[in-house]
Amino acid sequence: APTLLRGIDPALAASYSPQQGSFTCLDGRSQISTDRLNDDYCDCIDGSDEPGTSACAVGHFFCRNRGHTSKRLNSSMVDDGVCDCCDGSDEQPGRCKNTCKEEGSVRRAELKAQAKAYALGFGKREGYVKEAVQKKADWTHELSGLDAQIKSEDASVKKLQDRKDAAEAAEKADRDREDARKAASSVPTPEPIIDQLAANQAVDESSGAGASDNVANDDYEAAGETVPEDEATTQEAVEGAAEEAGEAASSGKTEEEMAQERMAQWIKSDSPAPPPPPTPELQQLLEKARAAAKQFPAPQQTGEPSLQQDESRPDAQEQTSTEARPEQPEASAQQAEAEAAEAAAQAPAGWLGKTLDTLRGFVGLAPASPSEPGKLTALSAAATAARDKYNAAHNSLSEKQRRQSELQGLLNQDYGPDDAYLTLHARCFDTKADKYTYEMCLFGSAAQKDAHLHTGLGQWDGFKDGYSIASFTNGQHCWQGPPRSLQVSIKCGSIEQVSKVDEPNRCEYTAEFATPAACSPSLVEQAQRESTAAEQDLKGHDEL
Amino acid sequence: FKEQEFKKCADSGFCERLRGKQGDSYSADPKSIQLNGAVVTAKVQHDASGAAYDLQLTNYNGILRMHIDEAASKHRFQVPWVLQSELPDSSQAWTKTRQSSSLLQLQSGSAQLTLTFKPLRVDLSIAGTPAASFNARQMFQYEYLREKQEGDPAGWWEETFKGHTDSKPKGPQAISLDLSFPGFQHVYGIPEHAASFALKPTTGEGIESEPYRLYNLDVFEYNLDSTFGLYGSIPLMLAHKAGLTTAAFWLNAAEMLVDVASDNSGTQTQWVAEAGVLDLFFLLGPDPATVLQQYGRISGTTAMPQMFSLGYHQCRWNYKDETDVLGVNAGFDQHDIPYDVIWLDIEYLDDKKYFTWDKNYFPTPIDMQDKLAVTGRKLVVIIDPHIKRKSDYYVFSEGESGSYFTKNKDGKDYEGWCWPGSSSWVDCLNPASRDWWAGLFSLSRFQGSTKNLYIWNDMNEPSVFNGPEVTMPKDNIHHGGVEHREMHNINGALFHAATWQGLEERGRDSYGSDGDRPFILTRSAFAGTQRLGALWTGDNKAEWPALKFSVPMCLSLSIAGLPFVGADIAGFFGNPDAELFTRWYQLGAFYPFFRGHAHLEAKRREPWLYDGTTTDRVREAIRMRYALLPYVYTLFRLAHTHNQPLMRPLWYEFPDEAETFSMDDQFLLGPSILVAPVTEAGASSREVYLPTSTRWYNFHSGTAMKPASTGGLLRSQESPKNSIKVDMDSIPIFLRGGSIVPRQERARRSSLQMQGDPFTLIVALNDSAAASGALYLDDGHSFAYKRGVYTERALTYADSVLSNAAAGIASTLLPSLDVSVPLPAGAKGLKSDAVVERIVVLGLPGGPAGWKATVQGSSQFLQAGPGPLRLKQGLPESGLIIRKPGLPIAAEWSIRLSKSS
Repeated sequence: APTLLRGIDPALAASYSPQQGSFTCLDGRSQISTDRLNDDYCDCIDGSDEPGTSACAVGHFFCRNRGHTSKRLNSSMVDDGVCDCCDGSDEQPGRCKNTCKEEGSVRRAELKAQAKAYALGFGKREGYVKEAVQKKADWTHELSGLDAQIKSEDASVKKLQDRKDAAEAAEKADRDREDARKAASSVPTPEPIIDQLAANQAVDESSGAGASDNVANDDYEAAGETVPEDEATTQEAVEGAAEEAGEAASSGKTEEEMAQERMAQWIKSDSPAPPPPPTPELQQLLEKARAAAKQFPAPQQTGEPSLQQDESRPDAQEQTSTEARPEQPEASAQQAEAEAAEAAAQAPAGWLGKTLDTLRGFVGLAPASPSEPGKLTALSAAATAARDKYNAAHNSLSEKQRRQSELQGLLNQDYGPDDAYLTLHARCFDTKADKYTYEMCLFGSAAQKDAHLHTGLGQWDGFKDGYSIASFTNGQHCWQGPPRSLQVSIKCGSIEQVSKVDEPNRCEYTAEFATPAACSPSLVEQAQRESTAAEQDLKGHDEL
Repeated sequence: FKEQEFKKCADSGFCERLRGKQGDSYSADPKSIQLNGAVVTAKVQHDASGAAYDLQLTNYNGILRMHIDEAASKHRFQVPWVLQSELPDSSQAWTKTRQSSSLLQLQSGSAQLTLTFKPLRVDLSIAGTPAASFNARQMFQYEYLREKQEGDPAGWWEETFKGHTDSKPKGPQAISLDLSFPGFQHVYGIPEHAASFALKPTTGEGIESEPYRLYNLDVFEYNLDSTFGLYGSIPLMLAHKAGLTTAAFWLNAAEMLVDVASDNSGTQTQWVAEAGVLDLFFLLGPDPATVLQQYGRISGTTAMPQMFSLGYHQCRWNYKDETDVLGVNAGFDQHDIPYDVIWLDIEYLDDKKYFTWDKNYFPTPIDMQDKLAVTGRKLVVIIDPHIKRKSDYYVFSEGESGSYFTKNKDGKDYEGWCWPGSSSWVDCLNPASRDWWAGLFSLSRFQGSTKNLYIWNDMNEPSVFNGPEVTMPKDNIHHGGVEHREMHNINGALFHAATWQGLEERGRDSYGSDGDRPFILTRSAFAGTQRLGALWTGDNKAEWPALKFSVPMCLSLSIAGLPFVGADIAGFFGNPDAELFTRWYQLGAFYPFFRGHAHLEAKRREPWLYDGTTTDRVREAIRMRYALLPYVYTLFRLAHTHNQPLMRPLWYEFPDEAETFSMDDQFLLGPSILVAPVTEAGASSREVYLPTSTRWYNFHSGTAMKPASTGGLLRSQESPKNSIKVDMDSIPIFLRGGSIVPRQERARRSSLQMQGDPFTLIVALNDSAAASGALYLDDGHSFAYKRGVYTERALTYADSVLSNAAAGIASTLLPSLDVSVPLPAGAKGLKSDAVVERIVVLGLPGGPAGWKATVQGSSQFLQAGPGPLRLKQGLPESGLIIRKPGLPIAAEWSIRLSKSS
């Protein structure tokens, strides 16, 4: 074979053959004499006259790398003292060791393993596709059965409802008569008391706001001593008093609190770590707890500004001096909140009951007893029976309807080409990275977990970029930041495996996911081709 | 930015007392006047109280020092470290021209000084032109140290701000002075402020402004166009008018406030400092370059930086772990973008303890640094002055037992709050603390460090999260009983100096006696910081106005003698869009310090993370910088030897063009390159001012631009408007006619790989068909240049001959001040094998066609012919290209051009 100029890609050899003693730059824009090829001076705008030197800023150097994969380098890397090609051809002779053999064999093993994994994966994928067909058929079958059942049950539920309504009407008439008889000597139930308290509360709130105004006036009077009694300065004086009050409040903070505040403005999410944002579920419970606590001030604090008032006037806290705003309400509110939160965390199901008991405690009622039979007018056996029958039928129908819409959802989901991803439905995969476990459920959600925390990284948002990305979005909000999200690149593989979790931007996670579902004949073929080419490359090398 | 967290004048007792106060009489006792060679001494008294002071006026040949202090027994604080020990060598005897009972008149060269005794006043004139007056408005006040007495006014002995009480045990001790610059309408300097370059008046009719504040503060999301004090303070003010440049420098490190007023008679200023002494230097000029040189004689010149530090720096808060660092490193190679340094912010640390590594994320830091070093890249890590108070942390326990920390007013180690939580602060006023701190940087003590690791000093104002105004209480106590109040503004510079000492010592340990030049970026600065390294303008925002204000901010620092400056590209806080990102790199490539940085919560923005076109444009901007490294490095040599700035206002080079005096939306990099950044979104054109006294060439295309004969505004060929069309590919840049700029145009990964690469010389002829330039070369990293291992080349073109000769770079870059620096005796200079691969001559009479070129002494013709400035599609054949002359860059030669017959 003719000796090629340094750095030329053999595929382009013909363009460099010195036929007419001139070379046409590969972009065709200009022509130079062949003695200007690789003469360490750039003549072609596309850099094509200097494949073997660093003279052109946009040129490329081709290293053959026999025994390994050939490579195209930027001209900036030629003769810069760094060995970039495993055959060392990018540097002057003697500078670099040829490491292609070792690196090549590692690479060949990798390619071989990859080709094998792809083939295996594609084999499995056929199973996935079959399973998908079966699953879909099952779902369709189940759905059509349900459709028929729902249709017929719907009619019978209607009938049962009519019967129940009739029975209840009769019952009610009976009860009204009874009530009229007892009207003179009735005892209030807890509910009206609570209603009454709520009404009182509303009155307190409006007077509470007035009380707060008085506080501001007091402050103004105190400050007025040092302020000239000029009408025009009144406004200033008020502002000054407010500012002083604010200062007093701020100087009430500890050094550490101030420092933390300052640090927090720099980095909202860093140490000292603010408490992690509660999960949505807990958040909801807390909201409920707060709402409930607002309704019922603790008995010993009657007359203090209510919690609700403080919350509805966020500036009140800043503008009122510490004396004017005792810490008690806040403390008790925090306590109530903490208790509620604790209860919520420990036993979410029983929490509401507990809270209600607490509230009953607030209003001086004994805890509700489990049941109070006999307090109300006895129901007619007929009404009860009709209601029970109706409820049973109605529940059965509801359950079927729920399943119906679930199945419709399942059937409408995009499971990728050949529904190959269907088999991964309702399965989750995880990996450990750093101190966290990352869990991803296709068509479901993704999360970051450790021993204490479960942070939602997002809900299923479908495949993107031609099924190469699985997208999870709208996860938990970062502190003062965007909602978290996770973008998973999907690769062909012999088994399901999550890897390479990263957070390149704050709250934007990425990961890789290998699965047989992503394998295709062309991928398998390509992997095989690469592997074979690498092997042949080596043979070619041996023959030379 | 929380304005209410910071003091206004009215919140400070001393400012409230002295700002605008006028009419107190001070006088010099005529009988006490003594003239002794270069020194005049006199007794001065405050006429109302009888308080006594010593006045000393010293002539240092172009610098006049005026020193007023109370009796030595009062122990007022004199700022250490700043003054150069060589300064006294230049003292020069006065000639007395007149003395009477009311005044004394002295002469030295073209400078004349008049000392009027009552009221005390000093007037200076240069060659008959009034230059500056001290106390013309009788605002001089010198609060004497006294005993506390019953009935002292409120605020003398204690004051409180935002719940912080300052005990002020020394009582009132402030100094006020007024300086007038008669006939000057423009004053500059006194950085650091996010303000216009020409200082706007803060007092006068219809003006209500806070004075310029010099008090080093860590200001979160600072406001623009504000007199607010930022991270650094250099009490140097320049006054410039056509025909005369002068300056005043007050060596005082206490909080200082400066008012500027202006009227038809000139500019009047008032300076108020809370403590210290009056140690005022007048820099007599008479031109900008000389003023800067004079300032260099006082406070020292720029350190010679390492070549790598002039390349591109990639920073982010934070690169998370070793994989991240090496991934970004590989990304630059993959996208063929050069860079030299990758940076780690505070998250690399174990529990924010400096000199440690978080082993979860950086288990093998030495390995990582070695991998970076393969391609010539360095690592910079952050090391701050607050030390976590934790008994099992060796830096803390050593600092505590050695008593190296700053004390509180009660004499205990001061405890404040910063990144690590409860912390103490190294007291760098204490020489023992500095020595101890320096030792911590040795490779044996700083585990995980290598000689490829350099340092970033942040938070050194100091920033204290729970302190008054986010800094230290003023009644903290430093070494020698000095109050923090007295030294606050030099605190950061002394810390920077201690770190410098550490890296210098490490360099000698690693490399032998020639050592390794330290590279340390600082946020806080004072006069003298230029001797230590680079400064960035702090935590800016990724918004267009911040891009725009970066130019006046850097210009102010540059002409205040601190040239190695830059702003965070493309804004620290927030997320720049592709346009802002591109524009910022296009400007940033001309900042002396060129670093991309982003906040922890900002999106990733390595140069390839936008679209491909953006990557291409940013690559082009960064490569432009690398091509100019020989020029930039040469400019740094000039900064090192002659204290000349890199970023220069136009008036620095064109001192008589009055239209340029308030201009700060374009600037010069060195004498030869004019940069006009695009700082508006969606701009399709911008106005560029091209001084009329020479011709200019489009830096991208080499095309000559003809300025219009009137007004100096450019009339482009395409449009009658005085504007230059812009697209997103570049910003307007112009090459000054009459310059020769050396470049290295090969793309490389980092500056290290450019060593030995061939040079391109751009010869841009002026109207007389002449040009000159210079090149400085050394090993790029050690102090071997101190023993003469360097070469300085003068490149000149005249009478159709281009020649390269050994000569001081000032001979061509600063001919008016050509104080050449001779090679040390016996030095052989630098050996270099690099050659010139290409010469481009722009502006040849009659165009670039039809020229022959021969090396003098040889009959052979070089290959020469018309061609484009750079090999890029669409560029005109604007120059004569001499192809491959192959002449050594460090040798004498000349090339003659002649018209072929």
